[in-house]
Amino acid sequence: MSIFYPLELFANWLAFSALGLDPVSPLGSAVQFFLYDTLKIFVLMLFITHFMSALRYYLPIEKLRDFLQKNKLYGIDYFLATIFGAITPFCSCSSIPLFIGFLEARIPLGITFAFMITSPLVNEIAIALFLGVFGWKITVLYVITGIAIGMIGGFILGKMNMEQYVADFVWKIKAQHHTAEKKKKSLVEVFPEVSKEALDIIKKIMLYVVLGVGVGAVIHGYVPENFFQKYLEEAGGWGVPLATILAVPMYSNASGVIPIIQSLVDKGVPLGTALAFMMAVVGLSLPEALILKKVLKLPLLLTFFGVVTVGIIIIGYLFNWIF
Amino acid sequence: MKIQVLGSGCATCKNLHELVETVAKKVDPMLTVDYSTDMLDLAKLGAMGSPVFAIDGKIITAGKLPSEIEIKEAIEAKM
Repeated sequence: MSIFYPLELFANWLAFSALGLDPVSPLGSAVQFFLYDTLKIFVLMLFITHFMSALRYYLPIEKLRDFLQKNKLYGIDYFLATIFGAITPFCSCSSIPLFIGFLEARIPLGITFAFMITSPLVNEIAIALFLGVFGWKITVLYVITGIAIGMIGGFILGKMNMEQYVADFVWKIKAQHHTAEKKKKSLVEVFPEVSKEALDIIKKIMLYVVLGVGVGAVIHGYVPENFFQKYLEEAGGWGVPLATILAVPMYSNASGVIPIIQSLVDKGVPLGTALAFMMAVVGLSLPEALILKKVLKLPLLLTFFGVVTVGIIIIGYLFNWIF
Repeated sequence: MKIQVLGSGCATCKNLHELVETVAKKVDPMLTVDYSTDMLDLAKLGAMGSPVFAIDGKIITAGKLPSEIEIKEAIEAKM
């Protein structure tokens, strides 16, 4: 029995008894799906955002910067950068200060990119959604994958010696330095602050999640089984790159896309293809590219996107091959 | 006292600017708030997130929208 069983019972009761919908009708099935998934996702989000927010309180990004600046770690630094990328909530408005902050501390370009690749791909909301819609096995695999893409992508970018393609003004910045202050307060004392941050994050993406689950529910109730298989079979082996490229012009955060992805997988889209699409929507967005254009010259910007694209396509094929 | 809000011009930055302005005026109507969307200013402060709320060149919060109380306390502490 799943730990979400009470929620499922409640969703069933609401859809079939209170609203009186027919469980086998497309509408009934869509409404029950919508209620159950929304409830489940919100419960998970509540827990995970609180956990991550507390983690960030004790391990702020400045700490990572100071640590990486002082220690040479022969590869582990890439891993640490991606881990922090995962626990930092991604907001495109922070990507430039983060980028400059790392380089200004003379942290290598490759490690900086490792952070920037993983940050949008793996975050608390994505984890909550993945757990809710795909279960823990796929979630773990997804997190490992997001970290791997960041580490390998960052490593490759770091080996290409592209420092000259970072906007010149970045190298000239001399920032004030203040090391992260020690956090001595206990978890109970900081809970209100942590909780506020967690709830703020949920509030910000709530609408996208509900919309995403809504679209997912419609697909779930109304689209016939194996509907997509037919079309994707025609695309043959090109499904993964096609999905990746199609996703670039779409701008959304993972919160809206993941619930839709699950419904697509239910209706016959291979998991790897669906994941490649999702990662490309989140990790390769045009608005993000425009923001980064302020600090990266074109060759580096293109290489950065190129490396991430190839990474996503490989992951797509890998997942299709495993599942 | 120099109160600053710095950001990339995103929606959260504008909200923060308005909030800090409102709170500052409540504390002391003579206070003014500088708002900058220049990334260089932000980087020079050594911020690792955006938007930033700073007083006298010292970062109070970065990368989040602080609460009214947090802003009020930070301003009053410098008075």
